[in-house]
Amino acid sequence: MVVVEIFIWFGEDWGAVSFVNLRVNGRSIDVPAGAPLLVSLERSGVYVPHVCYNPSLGAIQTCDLCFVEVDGQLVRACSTPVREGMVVDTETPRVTSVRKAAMDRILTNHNLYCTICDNNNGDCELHNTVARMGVRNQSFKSKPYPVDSSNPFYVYDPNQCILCGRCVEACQDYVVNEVIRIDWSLNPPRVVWDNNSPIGQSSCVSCGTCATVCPVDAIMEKSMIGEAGLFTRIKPETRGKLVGALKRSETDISFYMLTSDIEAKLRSTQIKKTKTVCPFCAVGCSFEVWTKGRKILKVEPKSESPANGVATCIKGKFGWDFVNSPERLTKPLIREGDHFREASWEEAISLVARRLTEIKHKHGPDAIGVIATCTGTNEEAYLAQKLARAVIGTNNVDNCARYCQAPATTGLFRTVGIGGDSGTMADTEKADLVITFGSNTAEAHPVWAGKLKRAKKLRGQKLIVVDVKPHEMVGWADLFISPHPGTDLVVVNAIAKHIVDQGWEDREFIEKRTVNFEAYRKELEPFTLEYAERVTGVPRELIIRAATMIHEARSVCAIFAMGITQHQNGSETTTAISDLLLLTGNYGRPGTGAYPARGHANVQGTSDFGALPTYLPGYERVDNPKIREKYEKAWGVKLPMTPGLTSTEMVDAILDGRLRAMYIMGEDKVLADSNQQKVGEALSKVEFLVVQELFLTRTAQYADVILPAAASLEKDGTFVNTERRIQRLYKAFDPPGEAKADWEIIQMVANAMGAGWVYTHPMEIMDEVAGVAEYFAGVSYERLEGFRSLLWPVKKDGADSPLLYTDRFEFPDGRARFHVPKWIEPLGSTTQYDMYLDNGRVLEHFHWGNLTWRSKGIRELVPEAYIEISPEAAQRKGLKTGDKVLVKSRVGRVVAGVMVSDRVSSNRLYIGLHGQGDDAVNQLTGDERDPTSKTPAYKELPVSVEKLEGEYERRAPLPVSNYRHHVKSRVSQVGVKVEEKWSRADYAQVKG
Amino acid sequence: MAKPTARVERKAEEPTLDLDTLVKQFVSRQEAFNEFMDVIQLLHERGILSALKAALERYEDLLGVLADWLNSMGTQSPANLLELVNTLTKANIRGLSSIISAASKGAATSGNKQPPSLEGLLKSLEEDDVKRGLWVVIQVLREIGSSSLE
Ligand code: SF4
Ligand code: SF4
Ligand code: SF4
Ligand code: FES
Repeated sequence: MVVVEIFIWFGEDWGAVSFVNLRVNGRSIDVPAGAPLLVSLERSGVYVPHVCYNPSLGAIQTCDLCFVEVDGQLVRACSTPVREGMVVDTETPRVTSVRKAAMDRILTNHNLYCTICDNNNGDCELHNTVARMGVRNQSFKSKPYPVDSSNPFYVYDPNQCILCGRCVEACQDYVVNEVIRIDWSLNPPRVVWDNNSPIGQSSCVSCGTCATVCPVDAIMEKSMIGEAGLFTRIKPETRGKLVGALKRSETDISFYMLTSDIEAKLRSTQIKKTKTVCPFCAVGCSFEVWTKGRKILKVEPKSESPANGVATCIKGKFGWDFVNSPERLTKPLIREGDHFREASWEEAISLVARRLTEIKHKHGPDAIGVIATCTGTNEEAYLAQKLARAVIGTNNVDNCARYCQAPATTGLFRTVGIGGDSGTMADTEKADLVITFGSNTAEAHPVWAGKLKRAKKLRGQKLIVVDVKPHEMVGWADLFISPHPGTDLVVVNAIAKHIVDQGWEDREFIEKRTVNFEAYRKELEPFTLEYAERVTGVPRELIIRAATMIHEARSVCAIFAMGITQHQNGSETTTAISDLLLLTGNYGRPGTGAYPARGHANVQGTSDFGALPTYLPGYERVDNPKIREKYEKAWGVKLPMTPGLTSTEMVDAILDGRLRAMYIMGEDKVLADSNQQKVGEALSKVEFLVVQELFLTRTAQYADVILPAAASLEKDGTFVNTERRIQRLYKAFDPPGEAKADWEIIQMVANAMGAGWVYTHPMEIMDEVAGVAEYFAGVSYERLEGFRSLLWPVKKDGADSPLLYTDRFEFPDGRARFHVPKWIEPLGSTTQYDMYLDNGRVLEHFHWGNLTWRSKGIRELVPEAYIEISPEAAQRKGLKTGDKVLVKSRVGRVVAGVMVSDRVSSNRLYIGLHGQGDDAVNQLTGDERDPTSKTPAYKELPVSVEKLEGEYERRAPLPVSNYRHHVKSRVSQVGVKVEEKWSRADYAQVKG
Repeated sequence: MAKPTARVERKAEEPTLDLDTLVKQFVSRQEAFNEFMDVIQLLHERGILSALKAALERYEDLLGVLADWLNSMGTQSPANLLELVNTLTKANIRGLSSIISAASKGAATSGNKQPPSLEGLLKSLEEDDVKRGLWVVIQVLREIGSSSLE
């Protein structure tokens, strides 16, 4: 009788799966069609050795261990797709001998010294394969190349490199940084960076993906070295001697493999692996973090990490020093005149409660403002807004979305009804055409950029980049449109008008699924090509080309970020982008939609869970009596009905006396908000300021009470990434000293004010949210276990929504709205302020840098904020790299070093957000805001620049180790070029 | 007008070892403590403590010597390897705890010995060396104590 096995294929989106039948070693099995044979065999419990295949990277075909016989022919199981009726034999003598030859070859390249190897943690793929294959000896040949440890975060040891090419595949085709390759022409071959440069002088962006995927210890995180093993803290010379001795005294390695297996087991007692989510940007990379006590050994993303697979960027992989920084706050602090003193929690909390209560009684609840942290969890955001509304009695609660993405939310609310990405990042990978607006994706959302680059490189996806800055993605674009700063709306509307003029609009979609088209069409009339060219400086041909590309694409995604939102017309431009997508029917299908690229790890979730002045959790309006009633019932209190102040308005309200107290959680408002002088003035003036923080930040320095908070690794909870994906983070270790998780602190404050909350774990908070907020009805910790995730809205039965608007838009009639955007003239340059200062993230630092400045390696790579200036402008101003400049705006001044760079053009300058002193950009930004969302127009910044004369050290702001100096040396190739290996004389391709 | 300040006046550091807490723990876990002292005594009597101390202090040198020694032996039997692994294991702090737990079991079955008196112990707690050493010891003590409650 034939036993038929049907597998359950976890964790992958197979869509509607059809099955094929194989005969494997005489047994019949059914497997999904199209899957690699290796995976099919593995999942049906048939072991086939392999070390180069990786689920995220696919078949690389370098190790030759996976040979099997299919219909009598030797084939690599990793690169052979299954097909109906295949007869597979995995253990014939021919297969065994081929595999043995392959393993012998691998082991000439890799010295097995597992007991003293930091990679021997039970998951070393080579070790395990050697053990499983029962290999008893090796003849290792060392290579004449030294270890390269010139990168601050990882090392490459050519001697241990098995030339499997995983790192190359990852760098070239997965994160697509195109830095490394195997130079098969070298003798012996090795991995090379750029044109065989030291890593520390290469274009490597330190994303660490190569280290993640390396199956052995050849590329390894420095933080692991000497730490993971029990016996690995040994000088390399001693190790060399030891290994030499062992190998000479022992030809049969099986006993050695056994002892190292035992040792690996012992290690597991001291290494803890905790699943968490990156606390930096909103891509939402998830990974395991390996810790030993409080020491962070490494960050290990997994193929099953839903947003990122095995990819990370430098920050998520290596930027963790802040957690154990000696500058962490470990005790509550209370201001005493010109200094702080340490206090007990009891004293600090009762002071906070007493002062907030006094102010509430004296000036009313609306005299208090609460800012929830965007790097806190959803549960904490929920409690922050509940504290504001249910305990203090005000809707004055907001979060850092106000500084960045609130306009995007407005634009989407107006047109499609949900303030989040329409689909997942996978949709943006699937799209025929992606348009990025004001998004320096490769630096601000590097892992997402990797997906777009991959789609472009391997699949020929089309890309249009609309940006004032010729950043890395421009190099990948089919079309680059660079409008005058702040004029994107005109570009978008001119494209839309051209589409309408050509009759290219999606009539059927417009009729069936939208309203208000006629009004919109009419309002487009002034946006002629001539007008657009005049206002934006974009040649009409480019606008026509963009319109044509949109017309020709079957599916279009628009990704937009701060370059769009941080303008006076931020809400208007995002509205226009969404209108354009409606016009062309690009919503509700795979590979379509609008994708605001959120900034902070949980800025989406903090808004979703109600830390907004107008919305309760799940975007339920505070001024809707029915909604309020629901929450009043759930919380047992009367709720305030008028929408509250935004974070930016709170500053004005302090200065005009309406706001008397602020409770700021995890936000450095002094550095983050525009017009630093004004914010400082307000914070000096506010009667009572509580700051909940990891560090004594610039904002905390104004506080009356500082409450020490836990980092993300020190607590449980959930984040929502930019895709609306809810993911769990688990606690790896306790907070330092007396610091506590934000949710615990908020609860202490609430209870001291009489709330009587009794949450003992964030899970209970999530259960409460699920009971009240419709979007989260089906969210539970159980459904989010491990690497599982849910994209809201989540129905009670747990069904989530990866792709929105498939059958209705979020309006009562289910139809989208064309909303006519209003054009607001941006601040232009003047004779006095003749340059334009663009500003934003740099890859290595996160925003204002409170976390990343504390990473030694990141500091080494980017030691200061600096002004990028184009070669033409530099020449005009008499500036050279290394000079310092005084930059002035109508509001203030900044001093910073200059870097002449072709990453900016004409009269545009660029500065990173990470400066904290004289180089902090928000000393220059002013009070202009988007009138709808109240987001500051950070990016409308006319300035003057003058060279700082006199004595100072003139040195390039970026060291030679920074990748930006070397990007022109990159060598792009697809894959590892295994054919070159096969054509080497010393490689006799395995034949049966 | 609150001027921004980064000045923090910290309370004097509390002593790294809080004797009151320590004593409380001793008293509440007296059984475990007695057992632990037996273990220490056994380890001491057999010279294992001194050997371990030396090995830990000279870990790197020890490995160097071993490596040289093995190199000079040329091709030999797997016994060399076993010896090396054993030595390495002993030289490690994890080794210490496994030896302790093994010895602990031995002590439990080795008949009744008189543990040192609590009073005598409290006196010796005043010595700096003892205070320092106790930090390590107390971790082990905790483990033994909590396992004895299971
Ligand atoms: S960019 Fe650097 S760290 Fe990232 S995969 Fe390439 S070589 Fe590795
Ligand atoms: S360094 Fe690259 S090629 Fe070498 S073993 Fe690691 S992943 Fe394979
Ligand atoms: S910062 Fe963003 S891209 Fe980088 S690892 Fe974190 S979530 Fe991923
Ligand atoms: S797994 Fe197929 S060749 Fe390596």
